[in-house]
Amino acid sequence: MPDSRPELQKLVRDSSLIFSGTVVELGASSVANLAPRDNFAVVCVDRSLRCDAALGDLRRKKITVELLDQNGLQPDQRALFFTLNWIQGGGIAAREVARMETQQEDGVAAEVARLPERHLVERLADSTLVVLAEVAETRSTPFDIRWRNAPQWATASFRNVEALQGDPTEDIVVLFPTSGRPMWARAPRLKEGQRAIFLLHRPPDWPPLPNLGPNLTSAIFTVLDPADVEPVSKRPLVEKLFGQRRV
Amino acid sequence: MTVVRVVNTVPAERSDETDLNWQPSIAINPANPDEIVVSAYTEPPNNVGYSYSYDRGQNWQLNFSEPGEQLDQSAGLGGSGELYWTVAFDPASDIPTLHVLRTPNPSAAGPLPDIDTPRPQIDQPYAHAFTHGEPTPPDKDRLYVGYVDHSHNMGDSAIATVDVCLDARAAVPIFAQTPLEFRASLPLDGYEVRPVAHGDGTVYVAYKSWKSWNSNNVITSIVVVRDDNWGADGFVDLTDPSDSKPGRLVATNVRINDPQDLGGQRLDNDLSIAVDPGNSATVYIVWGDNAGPQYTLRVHRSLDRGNTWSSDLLTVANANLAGLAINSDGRVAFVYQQLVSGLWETHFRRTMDNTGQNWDDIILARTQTAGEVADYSRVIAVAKDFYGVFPAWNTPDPANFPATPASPSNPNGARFLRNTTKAAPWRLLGSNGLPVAESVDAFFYMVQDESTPNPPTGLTGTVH
Repeated sequence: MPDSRPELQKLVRDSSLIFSGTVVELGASSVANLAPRDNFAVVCVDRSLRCDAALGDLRRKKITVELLDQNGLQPDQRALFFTLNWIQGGGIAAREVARMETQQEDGVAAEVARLPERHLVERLADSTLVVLAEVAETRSTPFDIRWRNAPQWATASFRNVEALQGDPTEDIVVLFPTSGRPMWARAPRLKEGQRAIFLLHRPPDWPPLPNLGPNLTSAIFTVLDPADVEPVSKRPLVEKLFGQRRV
Repeated sequence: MTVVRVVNTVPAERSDETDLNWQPSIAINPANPDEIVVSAYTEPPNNVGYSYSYDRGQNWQLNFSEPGEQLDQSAGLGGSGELYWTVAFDPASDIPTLHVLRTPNPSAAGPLPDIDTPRPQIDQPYAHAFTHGEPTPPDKDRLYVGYVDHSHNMGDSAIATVDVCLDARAAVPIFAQTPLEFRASLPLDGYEVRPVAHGDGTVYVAYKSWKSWNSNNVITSIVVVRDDNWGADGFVDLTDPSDSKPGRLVATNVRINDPQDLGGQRLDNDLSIAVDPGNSATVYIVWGDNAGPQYTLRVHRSLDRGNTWSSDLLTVANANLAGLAINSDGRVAFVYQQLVSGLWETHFRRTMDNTGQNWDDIILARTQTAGEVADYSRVIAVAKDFYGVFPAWNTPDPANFPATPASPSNPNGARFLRNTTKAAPWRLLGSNGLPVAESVDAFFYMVQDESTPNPPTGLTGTVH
């Protein structure tokens, strides 16, 4: 079982449903439209460590787990299941990717709690520049009609810029989406006067950037992830995470 | 007489869900309509599945299969139950990339294989699966995937394109990427590319060829191309008399006030086409425009394989999310959402005779507006019955579902699988029995001919 820290971090990050539970029955199914198989176990959830919020409180609910290895589990045995979402409806089924002893439950719970911090480490590692700054001005760009899911970029300029990581050698222009469509819905919306820590990234290859004028000499960045804008109060955490290795 | 059913597709297990379920689309197994797939997506990263019903839409499960952030998508089901799921997503980059995924077991799929070359920089994939009875079994699944291709000319063009696969169940299916624009050298085609096939080998595709656009409106042609050999010959079989080029110009100089909106819904995505399964010469089309003071849906038809087209058969103002289908009796269904007194009314209408001008009207839902929730909706005919899906605000109030009044078995009018109160005040309830926030869900509906056997659950709908 993977228990070294990087492996555990990866396992927690990549498992959409993590829970401790007690095996109720082997070779059975608790899902209406899923016939029993030898490699299934019906497990009663004791504690949900990571799950889709839409599932609510999973305690005492049964989950049919497609086991990686059907040997080694017995009815009434407790274990810690790392799984991927599979079926939700007429019951819940999940596909196992790893299993641990329940003694490690609290450690895994702590690692789950660190997921936002791990994500912040990844965004920091991907960023070109990290600044503490105030948004001086925001401007919309011409509506991009060509692509239905276009981000409808707006621009923000900064003032009172303090570099926390990287060297802002030019004026900074930050693009952020204003489209409310699902693919952009979580992206930060910058507001004039907003003072925050900004994790600035080079623009993606797609979609095309707006035409910002022929005389633009500024460096163009984007903020697309909720973690790209952090409150000033998180400065100690951000500085602590500089240089930490991503998983 | 017909029986109407409306079902909220969110299963009880996901009663705490508060996400916007964006742009639901639907696929039906034509040989076994108990099997239905609804695709929709939510904000990343929790968007990795499709909804599946094994009992004609009465119960639903969300099936997860692929990691990645799903964007636009639609699905098709073959007569053998093979699912073809076309999804724009890419977990490794920010570039929307079309993947065509396949499984013979949509009820419990795991990771799905790609069967087409991934197509980067595309918009709005639209799958149409058509099962053709071969002289010698097995039947073949034809698969047509329409989309707009932005990958050329440094992203400055948008080319209406359809990927054609004549045997999608083959071990190694072969897809022919077929651009449809025969006039512009640097085309900027509209968002909708809508293929539809007929059993005699006729395949029509409708798309918009933009002529100009600015920040207030788009001027476009409505174009229909046709291929008489299952799409294998490049869609050159229907030409326009004005220039003899492939692609009949059904309407020109059509003005659409894109990017304006109607009730929060952006205009300019209401192109739909349907062919009569009993006669491939009969084709219906609908689009929306701003020729008048209000955005208006217009239904036209051709009775001669697309060569000539009628004038307006039916117009509906202040409506969008248009969809068309034709059943085995030649009866046309027209579905749309109309903004009436600040509420979205979801209308299901059918032709009452063969003039195409007389239509009945069933209001499936009347719900509050919710901003932008979809670009299109979809209705499909199987035999005499119609199946579809629409997005709507999910307050479980029976007054919101006029076509399916409350009954002891359905106190909410529409059937809700997720937890709700069963009497006023009408609320969604979470797994802990406490109210949860309302949002937009996908609602399945079925308009069933009285001669069709009931769904396996035996649940009765409302007779109309």
